[in-house]
Amino acid sequence: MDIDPSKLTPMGQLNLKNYMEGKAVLEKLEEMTKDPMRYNTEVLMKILRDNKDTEYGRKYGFADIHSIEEYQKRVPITMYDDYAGYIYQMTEEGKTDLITSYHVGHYAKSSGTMGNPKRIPVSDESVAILDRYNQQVRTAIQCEALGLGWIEPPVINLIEAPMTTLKNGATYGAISGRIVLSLGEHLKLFMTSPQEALVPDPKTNTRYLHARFALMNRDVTMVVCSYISLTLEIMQYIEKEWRMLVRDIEEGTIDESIKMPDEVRRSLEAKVEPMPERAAELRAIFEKGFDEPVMPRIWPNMVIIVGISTGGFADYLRRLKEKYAGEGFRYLFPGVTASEGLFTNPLAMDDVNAIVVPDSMFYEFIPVDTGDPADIVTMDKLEVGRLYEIVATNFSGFYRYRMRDALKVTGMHNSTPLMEFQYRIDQCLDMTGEKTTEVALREALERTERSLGFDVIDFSAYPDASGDPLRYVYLLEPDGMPEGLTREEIAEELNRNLCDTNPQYGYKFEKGIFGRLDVKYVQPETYLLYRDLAISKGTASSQLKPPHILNNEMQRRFFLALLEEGQ
Amino acid sequence: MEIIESKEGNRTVLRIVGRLDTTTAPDLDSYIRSNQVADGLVLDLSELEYISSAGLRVLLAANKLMVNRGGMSVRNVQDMVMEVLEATGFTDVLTME
Repeated sequence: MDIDPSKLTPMGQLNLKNYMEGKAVLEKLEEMTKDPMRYNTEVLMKILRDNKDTEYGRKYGFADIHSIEEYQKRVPITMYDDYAGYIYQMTEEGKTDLITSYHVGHYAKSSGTMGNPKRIPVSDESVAILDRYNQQVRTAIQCEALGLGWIEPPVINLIEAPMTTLKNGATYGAISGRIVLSLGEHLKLFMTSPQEALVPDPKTNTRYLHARFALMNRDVTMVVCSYISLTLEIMQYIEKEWRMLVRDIEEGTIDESIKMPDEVRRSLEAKVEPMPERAAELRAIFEKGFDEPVMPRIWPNMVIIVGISTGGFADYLRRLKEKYAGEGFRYLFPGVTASEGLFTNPLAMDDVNAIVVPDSMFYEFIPVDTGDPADIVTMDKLEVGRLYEIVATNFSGFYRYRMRDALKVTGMHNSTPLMEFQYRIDQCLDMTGEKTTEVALREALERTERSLGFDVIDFSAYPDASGDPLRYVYLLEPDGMPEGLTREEIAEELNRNLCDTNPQYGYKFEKGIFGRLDVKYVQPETYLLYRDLAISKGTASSQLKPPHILNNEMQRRFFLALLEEGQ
Repeated sequence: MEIIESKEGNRTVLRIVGRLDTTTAPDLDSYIRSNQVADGLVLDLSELEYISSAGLRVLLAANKLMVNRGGMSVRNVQDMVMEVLEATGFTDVLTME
């Protein structure tokens, strides 16, 4: 290693420390993959042992369980409602030892876009696991692949961490924010975005802050976001507002039109100074236009982008690469982490496959095609190519908890499955048992875009049972349509493609159970409005997922009120 | 679209006439920001015939902008525009007089 640690900044030193510790964890992970059931069984036994004296542990006799089979016989499969009463007593009355003996310092706000968010307990043990894999192991993967050239800050961090405090003193907010806050004082040493964007006041325009402070810094090496769509969104904002951003950087000002409380503005104004040279450099880049990817020219040292890009986010990654990033960056796809814990972790850069982590929690799996809890299996029984729902027993008080996420087994590493997130099980169109997933809807649309030569900003779909036969409706926000291309032509092609991407739909279409789907256009800026409105109602931007499937009436009314005129 | 300004005590009243859509929404946005309304804002929508997503984004932004500047309210909303405000959940976000 040709690097002198004493010459590194504190954040560089932390990255180096994470690298060294992460290497050891990565080696241990590799070892565990050879016999994952041994380690996973140990995890279950530890959880049962540690929690045998909790109310839940006594109720189900944890003390007398000594095998997976006994555990499956005695303890029921659960959903959130099974814990809601306990969680209320924990958060509102400060009670402990109900479902977990571990200290719960945080409750994760689950991402419900329109519904009531849940409070998912996150114990200190779970946070330690998240830190171990999210920071140490991922730093090690990046160093192993890229060397140490990137370990010095700054980093564009787009994960915001709005937090509130519950009655019992625990913090409450998105799990992604909790992970970021684990960095504590180090945060301000490596992030381009100011504290006012990390823990934002709801009235602050954080899009401006992330973009402006990132542009100020030429030396950025990495972007970190929860979903890759956020990076795309910031780049779209830069393309639209670069003149104002560059002027502010040049003059050391914050444009009057940018929304933020007065005290936030005063605090930020104290942090910015005129940067005429950087502004001139940026202006020269932007004046050449956005036909060629601009990110490598804005940030010549940038090497890594970290963000979820699987499932519904794959198309955002494609658009980011095509329009702004080019092909020169390396990507780390973070695997599957939910409020309930870390399920999978990547093993290498640029690989969407991630490995089930045997010491993160105890796993069981229900095959999605049957959906029958009687078919539940442990990880040694998984079949490559098949979809499964995870049933989690974690370090935060959930036992045999149905996650409602569909993950596909994409392969094996040693004896441990590689899995990729596919879709939320409750998020599919299912009028007659055809189960059209978000993946099928998106693939059909992408094929149609390619064959007819158009592009959309975003899309949604919903089931329409108002007529006979039944049908689906796609809502599209067009991003420029070729002259003469009609909605009818798009609907025909889309229907053909959907018959391919979901053969069950195709079969039922052939039999006349479904009529040809319909296509409607929503007005420009509708998806931005949807995001802005959700954020104004308190949803963290890092938790906002694209509303690709409209299953509730509130969402449907929103989009149908914003159709292009004449439809 | 036409914007007609008047005063009601310290409050600024903007009567919006015509359509608030992708073409005209930036004009209302600039108007509100450049005039630096400080003591409360009322949007009189009695002659607003149509509002699009872009127009709603401007209302949302103005509502936020006015939080520390005396607040913002909306009045005299025509039925067709009101249907859009209700369907999109804006009636929960905006103060309706």
